Amino acid sequence: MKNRWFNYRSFAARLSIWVILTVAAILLVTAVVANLFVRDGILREEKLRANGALENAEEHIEDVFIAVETAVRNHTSEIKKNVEAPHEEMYRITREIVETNPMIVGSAIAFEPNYYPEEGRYFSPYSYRDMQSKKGTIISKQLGTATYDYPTMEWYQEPKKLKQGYWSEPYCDTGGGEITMTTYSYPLMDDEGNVFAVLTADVSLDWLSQMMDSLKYYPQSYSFIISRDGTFLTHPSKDLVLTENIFSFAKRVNDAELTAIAHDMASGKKDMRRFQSPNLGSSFLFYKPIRRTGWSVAIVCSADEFFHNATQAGLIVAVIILLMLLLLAFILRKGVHHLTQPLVQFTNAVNEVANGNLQATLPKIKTKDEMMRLRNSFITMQKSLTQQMEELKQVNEQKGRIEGELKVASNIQRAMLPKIFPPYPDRDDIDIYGQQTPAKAVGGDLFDFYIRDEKLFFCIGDVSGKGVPASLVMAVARSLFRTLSMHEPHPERIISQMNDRMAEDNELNMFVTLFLGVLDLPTGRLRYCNAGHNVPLLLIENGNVKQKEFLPCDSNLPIGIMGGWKFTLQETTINVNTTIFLYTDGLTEAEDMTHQLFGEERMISAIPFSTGSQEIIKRMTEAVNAFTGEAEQSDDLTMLTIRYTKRQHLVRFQKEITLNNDIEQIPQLTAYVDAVCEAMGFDAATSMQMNLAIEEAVVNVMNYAYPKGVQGDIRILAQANDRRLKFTISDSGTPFDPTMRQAVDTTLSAEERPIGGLGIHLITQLMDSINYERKDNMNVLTLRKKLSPTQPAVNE
Amino acid sequence: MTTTIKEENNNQVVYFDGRLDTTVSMQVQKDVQPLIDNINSDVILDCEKLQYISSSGLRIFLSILKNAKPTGHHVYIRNLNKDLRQVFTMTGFINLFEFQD
Repeated sequence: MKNRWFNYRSFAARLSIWVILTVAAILLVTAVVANLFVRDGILREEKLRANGALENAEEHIEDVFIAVETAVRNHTSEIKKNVEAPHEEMYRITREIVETNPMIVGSAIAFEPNYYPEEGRYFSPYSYRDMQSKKGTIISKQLGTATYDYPTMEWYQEPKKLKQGYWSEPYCDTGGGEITMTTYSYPLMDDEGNVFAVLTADVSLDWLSQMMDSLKYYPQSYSFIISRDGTFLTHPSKDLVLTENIFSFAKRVNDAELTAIAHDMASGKKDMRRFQSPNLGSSFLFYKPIRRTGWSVAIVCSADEFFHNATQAGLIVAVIILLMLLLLAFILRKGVHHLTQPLVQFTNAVNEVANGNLQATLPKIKTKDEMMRLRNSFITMQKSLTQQMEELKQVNEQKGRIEGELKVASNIQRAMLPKIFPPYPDRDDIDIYGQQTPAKAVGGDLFDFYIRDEKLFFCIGDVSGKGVPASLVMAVARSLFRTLSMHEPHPERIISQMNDRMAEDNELNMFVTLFLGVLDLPTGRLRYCNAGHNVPLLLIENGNVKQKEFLPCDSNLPIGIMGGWKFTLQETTINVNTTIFLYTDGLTEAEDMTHQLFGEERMISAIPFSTGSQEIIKRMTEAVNAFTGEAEQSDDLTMLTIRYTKRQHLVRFQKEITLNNDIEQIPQLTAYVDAVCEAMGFDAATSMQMNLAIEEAVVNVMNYAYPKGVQGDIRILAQANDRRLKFTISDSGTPFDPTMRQAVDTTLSAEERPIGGLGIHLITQLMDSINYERKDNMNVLTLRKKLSPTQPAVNE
Repeated sequence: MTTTIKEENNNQVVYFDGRLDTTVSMQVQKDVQPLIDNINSDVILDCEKLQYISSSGLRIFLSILKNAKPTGHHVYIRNLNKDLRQVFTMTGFINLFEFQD
């Protein structure tokens, strides 16, 4: 189950993963972008807020300074008015300044050296608040002493030089208990514009720290103020105040960013910068100059604090997104599973079709979508497959039929060839073996033989082409051979008639090479005609002399090419123990893998002596197969071997008589035949049959051999050996072959029966063979009767 | 060889006695010629004593039959011995004639 579902499941899983990944990516990008926007917004907000706070601070500071300046300047006219007044006035003024301004912790009027000669070099009435006293008593004294040479001090020099008010660098007032102070000094000028005194007001900057401390922007933020030259005026780390310089501080903590910021602050710039605060980590630093004094105030907030809410919100959103994704995953899985359910069913249907059930049921699809289209396509495919399989089935049936018919044809053809070997087991004068191996199911080679009237008719042929067309022509040729040779013993005439018949209607110009031979078994006389076929090979064994030679053959045309062609007859006599080897070019032209031909040379050397016909063919077959090896058989291979093994049988009995061609002599013939039969121990029926046959034969000769009125001899010789009784009837009349007469049709009705022809018919019926030869100008008719094994001994 | 023609029961009966070979066939032909020329009733060829018949003899039998057919009369062969019967079989004459035994 798991395996089957595996593939589908991974598809759904993959789909889900893709969707989720895409959604996650989209959400992520959105979240990041949103986050950036939000932070940006927050930052801008904070910047405004910070700026507001800074402005606020600046304003407060300015207010203080303005108040101090105003207070100081307000008293300048009074001082000028009281220049001539008792010096006590000066002290009063300073005291007044301090009293009326809680901000001012000390005030002095420092006169030019020796301004009042009576006072000496230094005259600088000075009043200050006693910090230690609870009531805040004001103490007055002289500021300038030998150890405090105020005219050289910056607070004196600068306003004098600039001829305008001057705020000093904040400093730590060690005298009054470690208070951060700054002094405002204002030059007093006479009517000529010469500075005669400097009015000062010392301002404690304690409130500054307090003010800055109260500027609690964020729980974790802090602020600081640096002076003109970068000294910390306020700082949450109190030990930095007035002791450390922002530049050296930055150097100390090795913060280049802070150094840069410090420079900007010192140069009076206003901005917001990010930097790594040692205590707060990643932070934002807002700074703004205090123009009046050249200071710069900064607020430092940790980024986390800023974005705290945003970050929190972001986390919540992230968690929600995660949960949503999980939900999405779950829904997707369910959804895809549901949607692809039909796919599973389709898979099942496909498997069923693959297993042979073309009519597998398909899932029901209600939606008009791809699934529906798939279903329709599936149905179309089912129909198409069914149809194709039907067609295929029909084609296969047809093919099967054709193959079946070819098989039948092959069997029929094989039946046409002589296949029972040995074909004449009770004959000892001939050893025949024939074999055909067609290249295709049916072949175009033929061989045939039969014995009629002690003559062996044989032929071997090759139809042009192979396969079914050649096999049909082969069948025609064979049947012609059989039919024509029944009544015609001469090979060239048989071939001639075959040729005429086959040359008609030969549109395809198929022709047959044929070797036809007629071997007279008693005498070894071979008559033959070769119509373009491979010349047969003779194996001659004469005692110790063994020879292989080709039978001399005229070159006649093959059969079927030109009607009326004159074929030549050839004759020879073959001796006992001679083998005739006949073959088709399927033997000599057998090819091996390199397209080399077997050839006549190999054939001649491969063929063995002194062995039976079947063995010869077996050896030749082996030789050809060994030669061709793996190569495909290109042509039909046919071989026919005829070995003439005639044994001379002992003549047991012999009797002869010579008659005239005179019917009146029949009784003498009868007596002769009776005597022979008696000697042979024949019974009455057999004797009568002999008589009948001999009478018919001799009467035929008497009637037709010699011309009318001519007297002639007829010699009848009876010979018996252990196998047969033979009558040889010879005459020297005109060539007359009684076996050429028309066969008798014994099925004709009385009206249709011709009167003649019965004689030869009777002879054929009664005798085992009838054999005609024209020899030495004589008609020689031989009638043979086989002797049964139970034949009684000859009694002469 | 003797050939005798008798009339019995409205039939023409021909008695053959001896060997009907080629030699005597001419004579036998002459003997039966009157019968052949005038077939007015069924013909019976009695072969009880017929020892031998050659093709010439068969020809005579056939000519009798050929001439009888048009007249509508039958030709019967009577008492043919079994050896000669075989000859008739070989030649197909066994189908041409009707036999009485």
